Amino acid sequence: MLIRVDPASPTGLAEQIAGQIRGQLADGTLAPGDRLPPARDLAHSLDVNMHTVLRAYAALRDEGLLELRRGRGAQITQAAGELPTTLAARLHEQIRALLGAAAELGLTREQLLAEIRKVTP
Amino acid sequence: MTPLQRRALVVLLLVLAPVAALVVWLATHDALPDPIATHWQLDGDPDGFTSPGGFAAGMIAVSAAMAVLGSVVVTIGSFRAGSGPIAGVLAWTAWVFAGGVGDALLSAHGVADAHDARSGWSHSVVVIVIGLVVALAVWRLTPIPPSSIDAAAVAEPSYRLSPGERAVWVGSASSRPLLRTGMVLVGVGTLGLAVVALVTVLGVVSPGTSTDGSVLISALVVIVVGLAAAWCHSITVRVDATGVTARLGGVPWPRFRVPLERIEAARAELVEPMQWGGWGYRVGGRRGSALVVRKGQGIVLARHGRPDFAITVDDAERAAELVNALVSARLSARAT
Repeated sequence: MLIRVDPASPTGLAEQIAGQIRGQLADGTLAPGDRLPPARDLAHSLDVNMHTVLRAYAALRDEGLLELRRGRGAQITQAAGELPTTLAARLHEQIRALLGAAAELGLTREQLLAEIRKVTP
Repeated sequence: MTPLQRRALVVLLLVLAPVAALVVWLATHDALPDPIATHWQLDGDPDGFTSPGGFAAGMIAVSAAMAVLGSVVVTIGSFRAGSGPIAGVLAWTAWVFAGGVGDALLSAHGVADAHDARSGWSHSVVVIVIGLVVALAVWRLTPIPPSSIDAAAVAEPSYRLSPGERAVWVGSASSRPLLRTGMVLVGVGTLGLAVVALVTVLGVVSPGTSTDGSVLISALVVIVVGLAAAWCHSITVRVDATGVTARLGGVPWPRFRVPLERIEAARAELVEPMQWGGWGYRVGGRRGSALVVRKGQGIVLARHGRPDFAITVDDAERAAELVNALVSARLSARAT
C-alpha cells in the first residue's frame, strides 16, 4: 500500500489518505481481509497527526470499506471487494450518458474523442 | 584505501595471529615446565595439563590454517559478499587459538610446577574480545563486491515527490510452507518432551541417564528451530523517509532497518533464497544480507559501503519505486 500526502495541496490530509486507500481498493492493490497499518505507525511515517489518519480511517469505515476494531486494527471489509465493480459500473453508466449527449449533438465517435482531447490534452 | 590495500591489511591481521603465537613460543619455550597447564577452572586453578611442545604446535597449526584459509577467502573473493563475514569468523578462530596458546605459555613461563600457573575467565574474556575486535575489523576491511543494482534508478525515478510531499509504502509477504514446517517441528519437539516426561514418570529409565538427557536436548532444539521457522514465516515492510524497516512474524522486535541515508538505490527482483544464504535473516550470502521468508518478489537495496540487502515482499516494484523517489528527493534537497 502506497500513500502520498502533500501538505501544499488544497485537499485536506485526511481526505488525501482516504482517497489513496480508496484508489488502491479500486485497482486491486488492497483486497478484502487486508490489514492497514496501525494509525500511529502511518501517522509517524507520514509525519502527520495520528487523529488525521484516524479521521481518514473513520471516513472509510462510514463508507463500509473498513472495519475498525479495538486491538485488531483496521481491516478491509468484504463489501469493499465490490468497489472496483461498482466504480466500473458507474464509469460505464457515465460513458453511456456521454454517448447519448454526443448523439443529440450529432457528433461522430471521432468528433467526440476530439472533444475529449480538447478538454484534457 | 584501495581494495588491494584493504586485502593486504586483512591478510596481515590474519597472519599476525599465528606469527605472534610463534614468537611467544620462541620466547618462552626454554623456561617451561613439562607438562604445562592448558585448562583452568573459573577461579584460576589449572585442571588440564599437556606437554608444551605438542600443545603449542597443535594450537599454532590451527591458528595458521585459519589464517591461510581466511587469506585465500579474501584474496580470491569468489564468496563475494560473504567474504567479509567468513573471513571475520576465520580471523576470530585464528586469534582465539593464538591467544589461548599465548596465554597458556605466558602463564607457564618461569613456573616450576604447572599447578602454579594462573589464568582463568578474565584471560578468556580478553582473548575472546580481542578476537571479536579483529574479526569485526577484518569483516569491515574486506572489500565488498560492486552492487548488482544500477544507481541510475535514483537519477531517473519512476516518479518524483514534490518538495514537502510525504510518502509511505507498507507491504508484507508470508510463507505457509514455512509456518507449517515450524508448527510440525514444534509439535514433534513437544511430543518428544512428553515422551521424556512419561518415561521418567513411569520410571522406565531413571532420571538423568544419558538417553534421557539427549532426547530432552534434541526435543528442545527441535522446538527452538520450529519456533524460529514459524517466526520467519511472515514479514512486514515499511518504506518511508527514515528508510526501509522490516519486522518478522508480526512481532515488533527486533526491527531490521536500513536508514535512507545508507541506501544508494533499490530494485525489485525475484529473490532466489540460495543466492542470499537461505531463509530467515541472513548475513554474508553470496550477494549480501537478506530477510527471506519465501522465494519470489523482493526488494534489493544497494547500500553505501556495504553489500546489497534483499527483503522478500509482495508488490516489491512499488516499494522500490518509492525508495528511489525518496533517495532522489533526499539528494536534491541536500543539493539545494
